[in-house]
Amino acid sequence: MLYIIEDTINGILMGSIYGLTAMGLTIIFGVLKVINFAHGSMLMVGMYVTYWAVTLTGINPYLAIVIVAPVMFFFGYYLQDIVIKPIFIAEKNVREPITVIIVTTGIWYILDNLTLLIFGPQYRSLADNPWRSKMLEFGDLFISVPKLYGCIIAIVTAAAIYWFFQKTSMGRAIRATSMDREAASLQGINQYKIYNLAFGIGSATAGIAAVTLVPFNNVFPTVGVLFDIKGFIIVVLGGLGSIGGALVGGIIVGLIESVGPQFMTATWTEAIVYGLFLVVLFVKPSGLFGQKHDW
Amino acid sequence: MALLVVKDMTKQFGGLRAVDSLNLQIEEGQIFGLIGPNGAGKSTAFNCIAGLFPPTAGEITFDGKNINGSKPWDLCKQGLARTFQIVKPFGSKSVLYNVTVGSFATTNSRSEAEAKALKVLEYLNFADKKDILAANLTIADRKRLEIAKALATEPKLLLLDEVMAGLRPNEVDEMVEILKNLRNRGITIFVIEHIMRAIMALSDRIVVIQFGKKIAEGTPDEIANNEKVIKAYLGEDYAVA
Amino acid sequence: MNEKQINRLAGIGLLVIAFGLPLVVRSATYLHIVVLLYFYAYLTTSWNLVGGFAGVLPLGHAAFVGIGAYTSTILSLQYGISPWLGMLVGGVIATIVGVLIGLPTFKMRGAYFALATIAFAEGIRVIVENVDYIGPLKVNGPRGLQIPPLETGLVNYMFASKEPYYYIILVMLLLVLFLTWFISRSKLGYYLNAGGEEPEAAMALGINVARAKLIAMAMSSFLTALAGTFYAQFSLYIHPKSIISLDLSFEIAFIALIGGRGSIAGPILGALLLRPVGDFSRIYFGDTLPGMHLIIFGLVLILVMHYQPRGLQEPLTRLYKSLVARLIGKTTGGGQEHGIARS
Repeated sequence: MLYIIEDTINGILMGSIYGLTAMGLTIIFGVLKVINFAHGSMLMVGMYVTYWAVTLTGINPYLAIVIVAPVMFFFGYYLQDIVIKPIFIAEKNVREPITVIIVTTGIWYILDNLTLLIFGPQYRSLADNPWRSKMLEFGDLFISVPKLYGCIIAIVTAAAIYWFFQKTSMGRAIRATSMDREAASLQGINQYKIYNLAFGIGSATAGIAAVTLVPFNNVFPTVGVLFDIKGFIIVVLGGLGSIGGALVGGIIVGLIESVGPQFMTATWTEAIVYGLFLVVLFVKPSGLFGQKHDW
Repeated sequence: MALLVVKDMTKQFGGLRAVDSLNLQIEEGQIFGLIGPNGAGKSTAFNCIAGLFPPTAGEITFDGKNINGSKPWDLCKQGLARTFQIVKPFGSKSVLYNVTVGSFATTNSRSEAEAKALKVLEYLNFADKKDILAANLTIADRKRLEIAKALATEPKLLLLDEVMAGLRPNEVDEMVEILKNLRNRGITIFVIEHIMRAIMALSDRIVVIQFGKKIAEGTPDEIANNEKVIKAYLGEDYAVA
Repeated sequence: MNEKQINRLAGIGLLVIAFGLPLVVRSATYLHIVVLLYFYAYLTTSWNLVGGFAGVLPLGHAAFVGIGAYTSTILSLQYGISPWLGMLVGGVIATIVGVLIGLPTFKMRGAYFALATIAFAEGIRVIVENVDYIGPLKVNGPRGLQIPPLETGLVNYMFASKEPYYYIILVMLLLVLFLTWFISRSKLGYYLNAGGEEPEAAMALGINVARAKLIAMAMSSFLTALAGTFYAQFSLYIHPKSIISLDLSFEIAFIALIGGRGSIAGPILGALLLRPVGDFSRIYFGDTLPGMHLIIFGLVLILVMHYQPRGLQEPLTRLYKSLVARLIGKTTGGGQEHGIARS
C-alpha cells in the first residue's frame, strides 16, 4: 500500500514535469497549427545550455533558469524567423502546411546530430550534484526532491503562461492569431511576428523544463527523442493547444509509468501509454480539454 | 411543387441563436433570395441546409425527403449543390480539373466527367481558361469557378453564397444573366446576396432575416416597400444602390 | 517527332536501362545499393498514395514494413508457409491496421493523423522489442529473427545472387508506379486531391473525404507491407530497430517531400537524390563524423522546402518539357505552365 502511495506521488511529480516538457509543443501548435517535431531537440539544447551554465559558472542549477529561459526564447524566436517563416510564407495559401511540419523534423535531425558531432555521444551529468538522489522522508515514504521542485516549477510556469495569454495585450494578440489568422491580420497584427513569439515562448518553456530535468537526468544528444514522443502523446491526451491539458496529460502518463510497474513488467507500461493514446483517439479524439470542432 | 421546405429551423451556438425558427419554402424553378444585415445568420442557415452541421431544431425537406443531419456529400448526390462565401478552389489544379471533380458526382469515367466539365465551362464562357491554375484566377473568375464546380454536379437546387461580392458592376450584370439562364434551364436557385441591385433584379421571391429571425417575405417590390425592412436594413443600402 | 513520341521513347529508354543495369553493374555492393534505392522508391510511392494524394502526413509507415516482414517470416519459420503467401497475409493485416488508424483520425486536423501514425508505429516497436512471443508466434524480442538458408529459388523467395532480388523489386516498383498513375487519373485520384486540398469544398461536391482517405490508406498500408516481406527475404535478418524504426518512417516522408509529394515521379527523384547522399556520406563520414549524413538529410530537406516547396519534380519536369520542346523545335511559352505535372 505504501509503495502505491509513494509511486502515485512520484508519478504525479514526474508527470507534471512531462507536462512541462510538452507545454511548449501545445503552445506552438495552438498558434501555428504545426506540430513542432524539433521540440524534443529544443529540450535537449536547453539541457546542454543548463549543463554548461552550471558547470562553467557553478551556480545553483535551478537559478540557471534566468540564463536558460531567455537564451532558449531567442533561439526559438530566431529559428522560427530565419528557418521556418520563409516556408510558411511560401505556403501561405495551404490550409495545413505539411512542408512546415517536415521542416521541423529537418531541424530535429540537424540539432540532434550537430550536438552529437560537437559534444559526442557520452552521457553527462552535473558534477558534485547534491540534488540527484536527495529525498524527503515522511516516515517510510520517500519523495524525490528534484522532482518535487520540478513539479512546483511546472505549475508556476503553467500559471504564468495562462496569465500571460489572458491578461497581457501581447498574449491576447497571440490568442487572437491562434483563433483566426485572417481576422487577426486584418486588425493589424503581424501574423509572422506572432509566430516568432509563440515559437520563442514554446522554446523558453522547453528551456525551463530542461532546467528541471538536468539535476536528476543525464544529458546526451538524443535525450529529446524520449520526451518528444511522450510529448506528442501528452498533448493529444490533453487536447492539442490546451495548456492545462498538457499538464493533466503529463500527469496521466507519469502515473501510468510509475504505478504500472507494481502490476506488470516496466516495459509494458510504455505499451499501455501508447494503447491509452489510441483509445483516446477513438473515444474522444479532441483530447480531454480540446475543442470539439477542429477543422 | 416545393423543392425545399424549411420549417422552424433553429441553430444554436452555445448561447447564441444564429438562426431562430426560420420558415421558408422554395418552389421548383424559382430564384429565391435571402438577405439580411451582416451577421444575420444567412450563411449559418445555408450551412444547415447544405449539411455542414445539423440544425438544433426544425425540419428541412428537400425534394420530398427529410434531410436533417444529412451529410454534404449525400445531399450533393441528391441534387443539392452549394458555393462558399469564401471561395475554396483546389488551387494547385487547373480550372478543368476543379470542375471535373464536380462532374465525377454523376459518373465514374474520367473522359465522361471531363467532357461534362468542358460543357459546363463552355456554358459559363469559361472554357478559354480551362488550363489555368485555379490559384492564379482573378476574384471574378474564382467566383465563376465556384459556380462551375457546383453546376458540374448537376444539381436541382443551387445554393449560392454571395457569388457577386467583390465583382465589378459589369461583372455583376454578367453574373445576373448567367443565373437567369440557369433558371431557364430548370435549375432552382437559392441565393444569398449583399448587392441589392442584383438580388432585386434576380429574385422571384425574397426572405429577409435579422438576428436569425425572418422579418419579411415577398416579391422584390414588396420587400423594397416594406417598412420593417427599410428600417432594419435596406434604408441606406437601397437608397445608394 | 512529336511530344508524345519523345515521351514514349524516353520511357522505353529508362526501362531498358533499368532492366539492363545488372548486366553492366556486376559489383554486388553497388547492386545492393541500387536494390535498396528501388526499395525506398517503392515504399515512398506507396506512401505517396496517402501522404501525397490525400494530403495528410503519415509518419509511421515503418509499422507496415514491420508487419509485412514479421508476418511472412513468422509464417515461413514456424509453419513452413511460402513467403509469397505470407506476404499477402501481412498485406491484409497491415490494411486492417491502417484502416483502424485512419478511422478516428481522418475526420480531424491532419496533425492528429500524423501523431497517431507515429504513436502506433512506436507502440508496435515497443511491443515487438519487449516480448518473445505473441501468443504462439515467436517474434524474439529485440534480437529479431534470422531466416535460415533454404533451397534457393522462386518458391522459397530466396536466391544466391542479388540479380533476382533486383528484378523482383524493380517489377514491384513498376507495378506500384503504374497503379499510382492509374489512380491519379481516376475518380479516386481526383477525390483524394480535392479532399486533401479543400475538404469542405470537396464534401460539397459529393465527396466523402474521410472515406476516400481511408481507401488510400488501406491501399498504401497493403502495398507497404509487401515491401516488408521483400526486405526480410533480401536481408534474411529482421529486428525491430531496423525496420520498425522512426528513422525509416521519416526517411520515407523525407524522400517524398524532397522529390515532390503527390506527383508520380517525385518518389523516384527523391530516392535517387537522397539515397546516394545518405549512402555516400555514411561511407565517407560514418567513422569520423557520426550523424553527418543525418545533418545533410536535414539540410537538404530544409533547402528544398525553402526553394521548391512542391519538391524537385517541379523544376525537373519544367526542364524536361523545355528540352522536349527544343527537340521538336517549338518554343516554350512560359505562361503555359499549368501544373500538369502534379495532376
